[in-house]
Amino acid sequence: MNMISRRRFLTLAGASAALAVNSTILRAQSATPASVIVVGGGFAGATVAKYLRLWGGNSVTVTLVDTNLAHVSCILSNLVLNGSYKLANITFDYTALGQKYGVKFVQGRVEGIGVAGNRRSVTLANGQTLYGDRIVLAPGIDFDPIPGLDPNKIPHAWVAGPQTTLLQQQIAAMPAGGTFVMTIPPAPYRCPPGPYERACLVADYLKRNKPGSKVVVLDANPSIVAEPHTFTTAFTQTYAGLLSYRPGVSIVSVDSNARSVQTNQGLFAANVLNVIPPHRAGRIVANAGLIPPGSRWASVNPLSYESTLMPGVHVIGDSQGTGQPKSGHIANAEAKVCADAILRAFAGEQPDPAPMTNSACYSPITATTASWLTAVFAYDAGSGTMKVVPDSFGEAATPTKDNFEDMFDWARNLFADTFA
Amino acid sequence: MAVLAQPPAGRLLASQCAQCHGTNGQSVGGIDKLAGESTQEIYQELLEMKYTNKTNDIMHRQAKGYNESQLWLISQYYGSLSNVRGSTSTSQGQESTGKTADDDDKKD
Ligand SMILES: Cc1cc2nc3c(=O)[nH]c(=O)nc-3n(C[C@H](O)[C@H](O)[C@H](O)COP(=O)(O)OP(=O)(O)OC[C@H]3O[C@@H](n4cnc5c(N)ncnc54)[C@H](O)[C@@H]3O)c2cc1C
Repeated sequence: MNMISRRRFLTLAGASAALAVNSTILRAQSATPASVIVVGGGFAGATVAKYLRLWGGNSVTVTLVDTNLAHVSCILSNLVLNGSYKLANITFDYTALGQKYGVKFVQGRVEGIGVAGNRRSVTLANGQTLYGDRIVLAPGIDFDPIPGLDPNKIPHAWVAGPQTTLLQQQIAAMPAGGTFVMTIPPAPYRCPPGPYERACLVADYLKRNKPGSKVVVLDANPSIVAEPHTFTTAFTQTYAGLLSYRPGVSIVSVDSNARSVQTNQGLFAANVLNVIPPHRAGRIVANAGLIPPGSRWASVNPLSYESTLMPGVHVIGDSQGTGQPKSGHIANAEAKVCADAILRAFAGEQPDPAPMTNSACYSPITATTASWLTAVFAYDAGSGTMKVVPDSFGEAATPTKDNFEDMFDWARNLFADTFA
Repeated sequence: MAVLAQPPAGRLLASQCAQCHGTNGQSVGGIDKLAGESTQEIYQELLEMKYTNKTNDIMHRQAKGYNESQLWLISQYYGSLSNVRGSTSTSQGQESTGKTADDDDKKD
């Protein structure tokens, strides 16, 4: 492009940009701003609330509803189990989202959603009803019941908070020479490497603090679900003689007082029993009728995360069923695609036709080393699904101290990009 | 501030770097900041990572996930943010486009 045509082009581009700004400012001044209600302030919900305001400014009002005043991150919560981290290190309230981005926060449990003309509504347990042009549901997961399982005695610690503390206390009180038994649910569950990471960290803790103890891992899956190289090495070398791994184990029932689990491979008794039940979408998603028959997850369009069953309602994070892994990092990624699509919809436009998301996960393997797992996902127009880009998918060659340090840098940015 | 009918090119793509590199490239940890880097710098580095086979590096994996035009859009987006450093308010996304268009006009 020569100088003249370049200048002409820029002038035109500037003029049309100014026009667009003026007309939308006019529209925003004359009309009330569009409104979005976000249910659940975890990795998905907090991110979508922040980015709707970061990108949408005053053209959109955002109300975030969570049962709790602060979210306790599951990410890094396995480090609480070996005493190297405190829950306070991974607890995030919604003050920054309010102060920096103007997100309104309402504490309450959402019980149902409804349609009122062309608006949507959510009803809270206290009877309050909130109205919005669009609703985003980001409630995380719900667990299947297991006969005999009482999570107040046998913690899953798969939602961080009091459950994490309970499991940490049980492990700390375990006698030397005791047995820690954990069960892994069938995939898909949240954080594919998470249970194996936990097994490693507990084994590492017991090795140093409770000599002679054993870790028994009962996996519902036919083999290690994530980072098979890393965890096979950890299980058979790093923790040889201490940790035993059994695939293909399905649970029949649990005795919560005796701390034992009955399975298709026999009875396993434990000093500390950690049962992670099978997952499904958060209850509110099921109650709203957003899960197709035979599925556990909300059916959504991956261009916008809008429900295919209820227009104007979006589902992001662990509850959605696009087949992308259930992780906090990718929940944040999905939230941005959703925020962008909602803002475009308010401006009368179609979503970005080629969204990308990515996942990056660091797993501590010992108290000082970590591995990582990463993947990039691209929208495939032919199948209408998000597909992993083959060369982008991989795990660390070996757990290292450098990775362990990178893990905290990664987490600090992920936490800040989500909650601050 | 209103919703721009057409969001800045590359904004959504670039936001997918923020989980590790910070919102708008303003990293809070030891990971590189992207804000303040030039478009060319970022683009050349991304291409190098895309086309070398150092698979035991998380960014080399990430760079292989995007095609060249996507990497260019991402680089351009961060390059444009560095022109308007200091505006990290809630509406930086739109302000930066507004200002970039203006600035370019004046420069020419
Ligand atoms: C031990 C462990 C380690 C992990 N490590 C990693 C990791 O290293 N990297 C990674 O990327 N991911 C990791 N994950 C996975 C990650 O935590 C989840 O994938 C992520 O939290 C999902 O985000 P979400 O927003 O969908 O749900 P959540 O983060 O669970 O948030 C859901 C929120 O919704 C609220 N809520 C639910 N129902 C209602 C309702 N009816 N009304 C109001 N509020 C409601 C809840 O209070 C909660 O705050 C790990 C998970 C575990 C268990």
